[in-house]
Amino acid sequence: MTVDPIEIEKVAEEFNLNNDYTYEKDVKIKGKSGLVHKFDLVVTSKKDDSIKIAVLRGMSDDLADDIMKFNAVATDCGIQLKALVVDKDLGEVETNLAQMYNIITIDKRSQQKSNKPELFGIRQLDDSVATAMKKGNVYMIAGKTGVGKTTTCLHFLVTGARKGEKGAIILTDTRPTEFISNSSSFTFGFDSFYKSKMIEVLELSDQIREMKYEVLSNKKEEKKFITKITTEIRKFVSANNITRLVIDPITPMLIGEDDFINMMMYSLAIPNVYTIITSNVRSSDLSFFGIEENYTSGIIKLEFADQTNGTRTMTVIKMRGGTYHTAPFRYRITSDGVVPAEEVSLPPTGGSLLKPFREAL
Amino acid sequence: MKKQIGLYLFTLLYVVDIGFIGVGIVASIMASYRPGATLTDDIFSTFFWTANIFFGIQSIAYILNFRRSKTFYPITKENSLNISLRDKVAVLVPIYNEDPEMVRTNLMAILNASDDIGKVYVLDDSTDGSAEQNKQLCDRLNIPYIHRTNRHGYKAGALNDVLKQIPEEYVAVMDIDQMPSPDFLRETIPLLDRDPSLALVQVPQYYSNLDTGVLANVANGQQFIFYEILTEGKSVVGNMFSCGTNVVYRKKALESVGYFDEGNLVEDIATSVNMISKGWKTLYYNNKLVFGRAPVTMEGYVNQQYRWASGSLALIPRIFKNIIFSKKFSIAAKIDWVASGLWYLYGWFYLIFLISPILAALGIRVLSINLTTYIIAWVPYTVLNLGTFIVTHLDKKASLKTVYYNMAANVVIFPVSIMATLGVLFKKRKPFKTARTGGKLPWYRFWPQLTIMAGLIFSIFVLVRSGNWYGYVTAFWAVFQLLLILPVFWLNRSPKQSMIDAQAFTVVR
Repeated sequence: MTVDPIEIEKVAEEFNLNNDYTYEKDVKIKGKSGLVHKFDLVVTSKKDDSIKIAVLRGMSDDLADDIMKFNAVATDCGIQLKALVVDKDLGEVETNLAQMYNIITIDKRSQQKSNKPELFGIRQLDDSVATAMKKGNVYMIAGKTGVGKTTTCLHFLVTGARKGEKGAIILTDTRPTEFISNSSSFTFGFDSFYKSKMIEVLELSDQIREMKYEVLSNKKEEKKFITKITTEIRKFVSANNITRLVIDPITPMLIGEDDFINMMMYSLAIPNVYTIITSNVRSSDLSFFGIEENYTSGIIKLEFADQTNGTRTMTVIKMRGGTYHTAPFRYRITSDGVVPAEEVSLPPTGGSLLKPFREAL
Repeated sequence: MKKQIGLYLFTLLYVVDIGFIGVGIVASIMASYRPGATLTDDIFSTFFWTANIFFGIQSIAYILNFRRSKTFYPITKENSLNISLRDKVAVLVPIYNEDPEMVRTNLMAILNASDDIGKVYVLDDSTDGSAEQNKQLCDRLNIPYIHRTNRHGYKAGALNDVLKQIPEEYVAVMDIDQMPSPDFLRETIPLLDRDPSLALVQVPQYYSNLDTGVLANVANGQQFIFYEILTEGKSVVGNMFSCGTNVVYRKKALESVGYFDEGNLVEDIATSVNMISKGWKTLYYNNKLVFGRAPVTMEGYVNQQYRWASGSLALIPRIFKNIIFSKKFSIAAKIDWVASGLWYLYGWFYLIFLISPILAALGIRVLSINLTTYIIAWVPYTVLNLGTFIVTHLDKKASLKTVYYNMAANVVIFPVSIMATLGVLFKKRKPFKTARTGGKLPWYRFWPQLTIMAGLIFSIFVLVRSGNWYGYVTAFWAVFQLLLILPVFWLNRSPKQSMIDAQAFTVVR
């Protein structure tokens, strides 16, 4: 089968591989089952060979069947990143299948990469902030317990992972097992990305907690604490090619002093990495200590709007370096994650159960 | 006002103290030339009063620096990096046969401090096969990586080769065992930028692995006097020299002396001497902006001390030629340079102090002719000297433990100073080793310390049994010295892991 070079370029572009990739056509790969599967095309990053994209060329008439089979064989071969290249509009079934299996659809006909960047995979939010948000900056998601901060971050990580952008979440006050089981109960595929290490989950070590305790009792060592913690974060991020970092929540890593928070935020800005921190609200209506917000490049605030039906709102309070919508976006949290409030009462798409989901994180 | 009176009172005490050093020297000279003294008496007494002159100079330099540090050292805080400085800063990171894991970690801290401000260059002279890993790391991080296969000029050579080719005006040098805090450059570069007469700004080497064991604490005690007292004073008169890492230089200043001095083991001090004698000013900025690690193994510690000692000792002729005999420097500055230039001879003088009770037990009196002169000459001196030393340290927020460790450190490793002196005199070349190499030393290597301990215990018995006050006082002196040399037993141990090297995060699987 001849593969059009344009198709390879488009795949590489979609997965941000720049010109650093290799590809193989009509590859045979032995799966975990022992069966040998054939792929139309496999594109691999030169920088990180765990970034491997299986490509299905959507040529046949029975595309739905092909997609299901493609997903099964890719899973058998342990390939997480999947793309479907088409030159026609997809039907509803195919679109749903691709979405369900985390397959990125690439339209061969479009002249350039879709100019709608996807950061969270939540359309209303992406429309508002995705062009303004830049790598190398720190953004904050603020809100009360249970409002959906962690869920929004999960969208952010999964959306990245789907496109081959590795992510990491640092849990500072949640038990990891609880976090993983809760996150896996969403339908958007967190668990498979977690298992394949496209999303890494980290926990603060006992030593660093001890160190923070020492810093609190002896104010001299503050800079040492920041240096240590940000160095380790950067080391992990760099060693694992992580481009999306979430710290959930930031509060346990902070000491409520202006200089301290300023320096910590400054150091969390890592080149080529989106950093998102979450914060519970206490001192100001945006954060715990009341100063964190001053040192971030953007703030998204989550609030409960209607407790009776679980409606919440998401508002962009600040976003440096770009225009954004100021109107709040109404949403609910379901097993699909963050879903526009008006869509919850509509017939389900993608076949998931849309029961109101009380986030326990 | 109260502080002022305290300072005057303290100065007065110190002057009296120094006066007593003079009395001690006279007493010692008298002892050495008393009628009936043997040649042995003469030799040891001469040795003894030379030691007193040595410590007298050190004491004067110490008090001068302490006074300057208390009165003139400005407490400045700088955090106003100008945007225009951004393309003007280079951060040079020399590496030689280091643990690749440490390189990976600390390079991240260096990058954290350099984002948006400075360009990092890794200069790798490694010969142990770690170069390939370091290169891969730098390529991935997009950092210029320069690997030399010849070690021409050692660290100074590596720095010079790159310095001559880069456009940046300010150059920070950061050893790979150091972790700069994110604001290291933001605080130091503006100081350099504001004052065009400054050649360099040095910040402390702060040991942040004191939880590894006694050795790190002893090394830290030794650093304390330097980085909290002496350096502040030196900075006031522009005598501060570079310590090789945690320092930012003005490239023009380096250029003016033909870049780093490749002819000396301590290229940092050598280069500073060159720059200072050309009229450049230097500044010590006492803010803990870089976190380093003290040597954690006895072998590493001995290597470090040997290297510092022999490098500094080899510099003595140049310090005398360029500074002491130059008309450009004040008397106070010269005293300070004599003190720091000669410091690494200390082993010889601690030796005579250590053995003087043993000599007394053997009937060789080096201190004085009789009990009266002995008490007049030595009791007030010892009390005053120790007292001021402790008080000044406490004033600078040192703990009593730190004071003890500092005094103990020099006593414990006095043989290193002696070996280094002999090494320099006979031009013996030792292969270059960093403080991070090696492990525990075999116990036979401590024979000088152990012999002296045995001798001191012996002398205590003999002197106490002598039944006279001369003997009692000397026995007390022997006990005191025994306490200082005792930590030798706690130093040569396997280190515990420090919190600074512990994992900050665990990956959940």
